[in-house]
Amino acid sequence: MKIAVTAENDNGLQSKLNPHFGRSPYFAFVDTETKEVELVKNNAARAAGGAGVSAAQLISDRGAKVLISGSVGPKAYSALSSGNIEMYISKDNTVGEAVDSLQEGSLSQLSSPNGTPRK
Amino acid sequence: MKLTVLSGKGGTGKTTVSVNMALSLSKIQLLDADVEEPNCKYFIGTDFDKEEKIYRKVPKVDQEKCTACRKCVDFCEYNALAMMIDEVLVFPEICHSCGGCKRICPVNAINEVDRELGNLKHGVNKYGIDFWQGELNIGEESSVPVIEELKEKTNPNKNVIIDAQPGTTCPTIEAAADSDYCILVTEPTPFGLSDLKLASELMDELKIPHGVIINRAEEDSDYIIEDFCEERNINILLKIPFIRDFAHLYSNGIPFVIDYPTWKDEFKKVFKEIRGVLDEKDNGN
Repeated sequence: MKIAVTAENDNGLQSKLNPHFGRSPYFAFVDTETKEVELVKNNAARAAGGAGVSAAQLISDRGAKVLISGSVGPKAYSALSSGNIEMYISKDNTVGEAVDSLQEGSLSQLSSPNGTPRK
Repeated sequence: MKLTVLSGKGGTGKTTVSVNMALSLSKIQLLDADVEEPNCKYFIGTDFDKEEKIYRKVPKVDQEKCTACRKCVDFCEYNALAMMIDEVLVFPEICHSCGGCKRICPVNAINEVDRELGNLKHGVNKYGIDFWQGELNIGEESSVPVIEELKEKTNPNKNVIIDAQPGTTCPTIEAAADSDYCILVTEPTPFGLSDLKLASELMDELKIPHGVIINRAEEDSDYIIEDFCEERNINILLKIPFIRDFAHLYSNGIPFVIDYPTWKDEFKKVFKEIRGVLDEKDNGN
């Protein structure tokens, strides 16, 4: 299964977890079977508007089924839900720790948006 | 004559200046173009006799016809469309109504439907000012179409005062763009100065003659604004002092010229000065 995690920098599983979804500088895509990790730059991070929607599109296009972040805004939540992508909230420090937490079952699943859109 | 009152920084006193100036002059029309939070009404009265809804076009996707080719999603510059599991999602709040998705769709699966964006209201107020305000609906992001419609209400036979949105982005530019003159309201603080610089650069870009009103003026700190204006050769039209009674009146929704009628003369002087600047400009041409 492919998991997307919002990341502040491009440093594999050691990348720092970014607390916001839409404008996260990077997304880490982690394959839970092979443990392979790929970091993708978020081109929407500096978009004037619609960053959350654009980021959700990227997550879906890359085939991730689960997203881990600190917060997800209303439009991104709606788009990700439509894409059947599960969202989990983590306060871990790194991408690797967040993935471990998910597998241990210690992350809570998001059932409504918990972030606010930024202009 | 069309005057727009604007400021880089929010909360400097655009509405204070707009309303008090409107009450000091005759043959005035006041337009509240701060459509994200129109507040002139709290000072001149909230009775409205006319209301018009404003609509804009947003896409509606016919999922039966849609082949999930994704051309519309890739085309949208504003990320208002997304493709999730072969279905196009529309986020109308961020759509800019450009109509591009409808044109680019190869199978005509996109229609445009009306979405209510906001409204215009005309006020009958106790002071007899011809007053229109624009208001953007909650959750909507683009205020420009509301301001465009509001400006259609401009009465060419009156002196029009437009209370603009703070900042130096599209809504402020839309309000100010075809004005004869702009009043930049600021306060003598570093924040006030920083945003005044931006507002004044915007004026230079738009080539609109402009002057400054310092609100909450205090002798000890006015130099912050005065030095800048002197350096840039910008006229300071008026200083409104930082006094408790003005703030108290404001908090009760009373324009201060009502309690201090001699201030009407100050605003008349400002108006005369602006008229002089514009006449000189016309003669120069």
